[in-house]
Parts: sequence; C-alpha cells; structure tokens
Amino acid sequence: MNISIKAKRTAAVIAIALVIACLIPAAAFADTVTIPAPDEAQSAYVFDNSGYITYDGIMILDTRCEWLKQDGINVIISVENDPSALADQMADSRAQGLEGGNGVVVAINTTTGESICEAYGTAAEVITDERCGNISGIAASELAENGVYRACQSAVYNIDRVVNDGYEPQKVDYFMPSVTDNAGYLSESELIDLKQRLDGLRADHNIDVAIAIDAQMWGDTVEQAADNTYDYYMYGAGAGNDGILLYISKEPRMYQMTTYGYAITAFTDHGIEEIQSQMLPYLRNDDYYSACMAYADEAEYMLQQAESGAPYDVDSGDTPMDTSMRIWYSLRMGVFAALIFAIIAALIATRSKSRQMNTAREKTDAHGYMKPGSLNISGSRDVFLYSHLDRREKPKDPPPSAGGGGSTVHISSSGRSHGGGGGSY
Amino acid sequence: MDDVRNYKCPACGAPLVFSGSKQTLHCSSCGNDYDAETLKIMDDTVNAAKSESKFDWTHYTPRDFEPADAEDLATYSCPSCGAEITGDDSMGSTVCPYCGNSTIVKGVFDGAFKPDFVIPFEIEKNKAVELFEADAAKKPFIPDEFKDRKRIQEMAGVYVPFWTFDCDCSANITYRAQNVRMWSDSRYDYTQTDYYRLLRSGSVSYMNIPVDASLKADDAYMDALEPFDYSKAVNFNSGYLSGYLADRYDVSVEDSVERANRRVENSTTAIFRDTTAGYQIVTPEFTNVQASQGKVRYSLLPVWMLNIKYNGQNYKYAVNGQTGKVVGEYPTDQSKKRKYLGKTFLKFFIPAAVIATAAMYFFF
Repeated sequence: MNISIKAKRTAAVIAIALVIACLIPAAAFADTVTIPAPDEAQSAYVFDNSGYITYDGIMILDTRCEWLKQDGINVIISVENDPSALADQMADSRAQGLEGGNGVVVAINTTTGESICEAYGTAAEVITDERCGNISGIAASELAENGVYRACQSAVYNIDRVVNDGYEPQKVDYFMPSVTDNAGYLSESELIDLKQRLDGLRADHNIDVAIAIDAQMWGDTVEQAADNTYDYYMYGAGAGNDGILLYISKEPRMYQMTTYGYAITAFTDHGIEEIQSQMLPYLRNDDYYSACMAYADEAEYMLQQAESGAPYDVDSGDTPMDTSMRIWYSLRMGVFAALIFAIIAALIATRSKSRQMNTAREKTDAHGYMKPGSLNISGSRDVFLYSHLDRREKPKDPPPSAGGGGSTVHISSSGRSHGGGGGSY
Repeated sequence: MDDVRNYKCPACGAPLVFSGSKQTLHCSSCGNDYDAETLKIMDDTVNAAKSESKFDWTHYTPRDFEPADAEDLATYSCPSCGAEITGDDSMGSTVCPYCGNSTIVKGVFDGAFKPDFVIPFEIEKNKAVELFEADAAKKPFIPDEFKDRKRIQEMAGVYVPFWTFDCDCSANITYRAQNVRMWSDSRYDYTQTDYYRLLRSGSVSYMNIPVDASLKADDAYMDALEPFDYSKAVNFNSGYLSGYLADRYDVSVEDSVERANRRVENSTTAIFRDTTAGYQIVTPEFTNVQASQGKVRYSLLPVWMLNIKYNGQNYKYAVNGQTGKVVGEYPTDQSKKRKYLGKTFLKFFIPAAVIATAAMYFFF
C-alpha cells in the first residue's frame, strides 16, 4: 500500500467537512453524550477525548483507518475518559458517522478500562460478533498493559488481519514480522534464519529489531521511507513503540536504519555508523543475508551495552564484530606478508646453497696480492664545499572533530522523532 | 697567486672572485667562500685524477730450455681436445687432464719455454682424491648416485702455466661526499646537507698476481684455486716434472695483462675507498690509477685435475696441488633442491605468519 501521505491528508480534510455536516443532525439524537469538537489532529476516523493519544499517534491511526477504508471497511475509533461515557453507547453514537451505516466502531474508555468493538451493517458479516468480542478483549488487555494507544493499534491491526488476510484476531507483541522481503533479496531459508534470529532478539530485549526490504523506495528519500514504514506499519514494542528498523530499497539502492523511542538511546550516532561500516561491504557485494546478519549481530551487541547502562558510543571500544574483523584482517595480511617473506627467504637460502655446487669463480680483485704495509696514503684531504639547508613548514593538524557522542534525531512526517542513519549501497 | 687560474665554484659552477677583505675566493652566485690554498690542492688532485689510468708492464722475454734439461722430456698431445702437454719421457699411460681422454699420443719434446719458478706439488694423488671426495660429500644437492657410482677418470697432476705480475701502483682519486642531518622544531622540519670533496693520493704495491696462461685451463677454476703460497716457490728444475705433466703457455703476456690490470684497479680503488669513512654518502668522482715497475714472471703452479662423466655430461674438478683447496661444479639433484626449498619455506613461513599476524593485530 504505497499511497502518499499527502493524498490521505487531503481525503481526511474533505471527510471531516462531510462528517461535521452529518454530525449536526446526529447531535440532536444523542442525550447523555456530547460530541466534542475535533482534536488538534485533524482526523476523520479517530476521536480522542482523553488527550492520552499524541498527535503522531492520531495521525498514524488515521492513516491506518484510511487504508482500511480503501480495503472496503470503514473504521471509527473513539476514546473517552469520562467515566459516565459508556463504551457501547459511545459506539452507537459514533456509528452514526459511518458511511452508509456500514463499518466498525471501536470505543475505549480509559477510566473504566472498557473496550468495545461493534460492527454495523455489511461489516458485521466479516467482523462477526465472535470476532468483535475477541477484538474487544484483546484491546482491553492491551489497554491495561500498554495504554490506550497500543490498544487502538491492536484493534486496527486485528481488523486488518480479519478483513485482508482472513485470520482470526490475535494478541501479538509485534504487529509486523521481523523480516519482510518484497524484493526477493533473501532466499526462503535465509528468511527463516533471519526471522528466527531477530525474533529471538525481540524476545530477549523487549524491543523491536526488524528488517523491511522494498522493491521500490517508499518515499522521496530513504529517510522518509524508513520512518514512514516504521510509523505507519506500526513497528515497535509496547506502549512506546520502541524499536529499530533496517529499511532496504532495491530501486534505488538505498538503505536506512531508523530508531524510535528507547532505541534512539540504545543506538547512538556512533553505533549506527558502526553498524553501517559492518553492513555496507556486504550490501555493496549483494550479499544481503550477511548484511542482515551483521545488522542482527551488531544490534544485539548494542542492546546488551545499552542494557548494561553504557550504550555503545564514541568512547566505547571495538564491538565483537570489529574485533573479529580485525583478527581476520590481521590474519590475511599477516599470512600474505609471511608468504612473501618466506618465499623470498627460501629462494635466497636455496640459491645460496646452490652456489656451493659450483665453486669455480673468476676473481676480480688483487686483495690477496697486496704487499703488506705497502699502502701509503700520501695525500688525504677532506674539503668542505658548502651546505644546503632545506626548511619545510610542518603541516598543521586539522582540529579534532567535535565528536561528543549521543544520538541526533529528526522529525518524520507523522511528527515523531526518529534517530538512525543510512545511505546508498 | 703564482699562476693565473680561473676557479669555478664547486657548488654552483659560477666563476669565483678573490675577495681581498676576506682573503677568500667568493662566489657571488651562491654566496659561498673558499680558501684559496685548499682550492689549489683540490684542483691539482682533480686534474691528476682526471687523466687516463696507465699500466706499465715491462715486456717479457721468454727463456729457452737448456738442451740438457730437455732430454728427459716428451710432448704429449691429446687427439680429443688438442692439448699439448709436456711430461716425463718415461711416463706410462697418462690421461689428458683437460678432457679426460686416455688416448694421448707421445711425441718428441719440442723445447717449451722455461719457467722462472715453480711451486712444487705438496699434495699426493691419494690425498687429492680423498680431499675431492670429502668436498663432494659436503655438497647439499649432490645426487645420491653421483656419490656412489661416479666413474672417476684418472686424476691427473698438472703444472699449469701462469703469468705472475708485480707492480707498484699509485692512485689519485677524488670523491663527492654528503652528510645529511634532520631535525625539527615546533614549526619546521629541517634538512641540512653538507657537501664535501674528498681527495686521496697514494700508492700500494702488489706481488704475484696470477693470470693463467693456458687457453685450456678454465680461468674461473684457476682463479678459484687461489691463493698459492709463493714463499714455497723455487727456481725451476726439470726434476720437479717427473711423475707430473706440465702445460706450456699459449696466452701471451699482452693478452693476460688486461686481467691483471683490472684486478689491480679494483683492489686499489677499494682500498682507497676504505679510507673515506665518516660520511653517509660517498661516490667516487675521478679515478686515476697508474701501475709502474711492472714485472712479469712465467711460473708453473701445481694443480690436480679430475674429469667425471655423469648423465652424459663432463664435470671438471681441480685441487690446488699445494694447499688442497677443491673447486669445481657438481651436478644438482633437482628434487633434492626442491625439497630443500619447500622445507626452508615452511621453516620461515610458519613463525613469520604467527609474528606478522600478531604484529598486524596489535599495531593496526
């Protein structure tokens, strides 16, 4: 689904206008519930009266609902914190806003912890009662564990699962598989291998470590593509959506690691550079499996370092991969140098031995025939002629770069702060 | 100044002008000053060094044998290689020392030139064979069959004719020398080069430089047999020839002189070069070597010669008949050589690989 964000936004603005037009008559029927004015985030699908969902959260949920709409199902999300706003009543109210009366409404009350999912009209055929019940239960569970935003994410995710993939709703720790390859860079077995590795890291460290490979870059810059993939496909663990995603595009040949949440701290600029330096040679040589494995290995190391309290940064030493690379490099150079040396030495030694085989040699000097004591240096003079002084100014060392460490962040289209780095390969 | 000379600056070649205030010769082009006396000596030496080297050997007049000496001698010629050797009239079967052919023909002695002196044989034939076998045993790549199955032709004792040269040698040599010093301070790197001219004149004498006077005798072999101890040389007497062969000279003094000149020149320049210590870079500039009082003598030196046929090739060996030194070319067993190469390679490679890898790891 590669529709640009801009188009979605425009659609959203138009939708809002329509909704407002529709809501005015609906307001006349509501009794205990007042429909408040829309949030600062302009959304046609997401209504948050609790204020717990951030701007970027709303933008993301909004986009997902937009996608679901294009998939044929209207979704509205309603969040209240007023304890008197009963979830099922909220759902029915909001349902008035569903186009054609068909769709799904997810209503959550953050104070009571209630969470309800209701299907209306034709949507009820797909999102059956049983499924609605499951979705609600999962959302309630997520609300309790990870907060309202995660609950909303799970609802959207499950609706998507049911509608598009035909799967039953499920509670998951991660909304996307750890490895996605849309460009055919990895073989079946490589994919399975990497998934296993990264799933392991996800489980061990409670943070998302993922790889997404696209055939076409999803954006004008790889930074945008990576950030948007992370945000809108809902990568990330737990309430904070913490994680790191390695985004690789086949056309053009670009890659970007994007970090969010805790991963920004765990993966410093220096750390990202380090991973880049390990991955890049493999990427350039089209050895994608090795590149991804290098990413996984380095990511694991960085996460371990971060967990121990000292994230990998400029003042850290070598990573284990650095060390093993150094060993390997030293071995190659050492063996090569020793080879050259040994060949030359052996040739010289053999030649010297060979020369013993023929001792017949002409003499070119008469040293043995010098009359002893006949050497008489009658005139010996060392004359100093002149001196030449060459003076060269020493090259000025460039000032040391201002490397202090840490992580730089930038704002993505959703409004979120992302860290990371990348380039072309 | 006694004679008018125009001196050129040794550094830049510009003409020098005498500066009365400083009492030196001054170069306006590069600003250097030189002492006039030093310049004169230098100029003289350089001119001497620039002239052609000369080697002046007195001409050799060969002496003839007295008839009385000649009556016990015969001339032997080899049909295989064309050698003509003098030997005892009563010698039994003999083998050509140069090619190993045993069918040499005895003829009438035709009066070879009488040598000035001879160094008699001190090493007996058995001893010579022994020494040869000991030498062969030590060689690294000798084929095993050679040691076991060699077909020794008779080892023949020959007096090889040599011209020996004595001379006094004088030389004038100039050198260019440099010393370089480098240092730094906080702002600059300095390189100072001091240029010198070294002048050496002197003389050295040589005695008994041998050049073999037989075409058949391989120069390389004869040179390699050196040195002979000339204190044991005696005036020639045909009695020394009994039991041995003696070759006669067929290379003239004039043709041999070149080799002697070369050796004299090389030794003289080398020994003068040894006196130029204390400079980082020394390069000879002009060299003049003059040999005078050159004396030439015709002598016979004792050599045991042996020919061995192996794998269809003839290998020659010579043993110094006075000192026992063995020279010659031995066949090489290529597989032994290859094995040695391989073993040595491993010997060097394994420790070198360990050291190099460790060094690379810790220093890069």
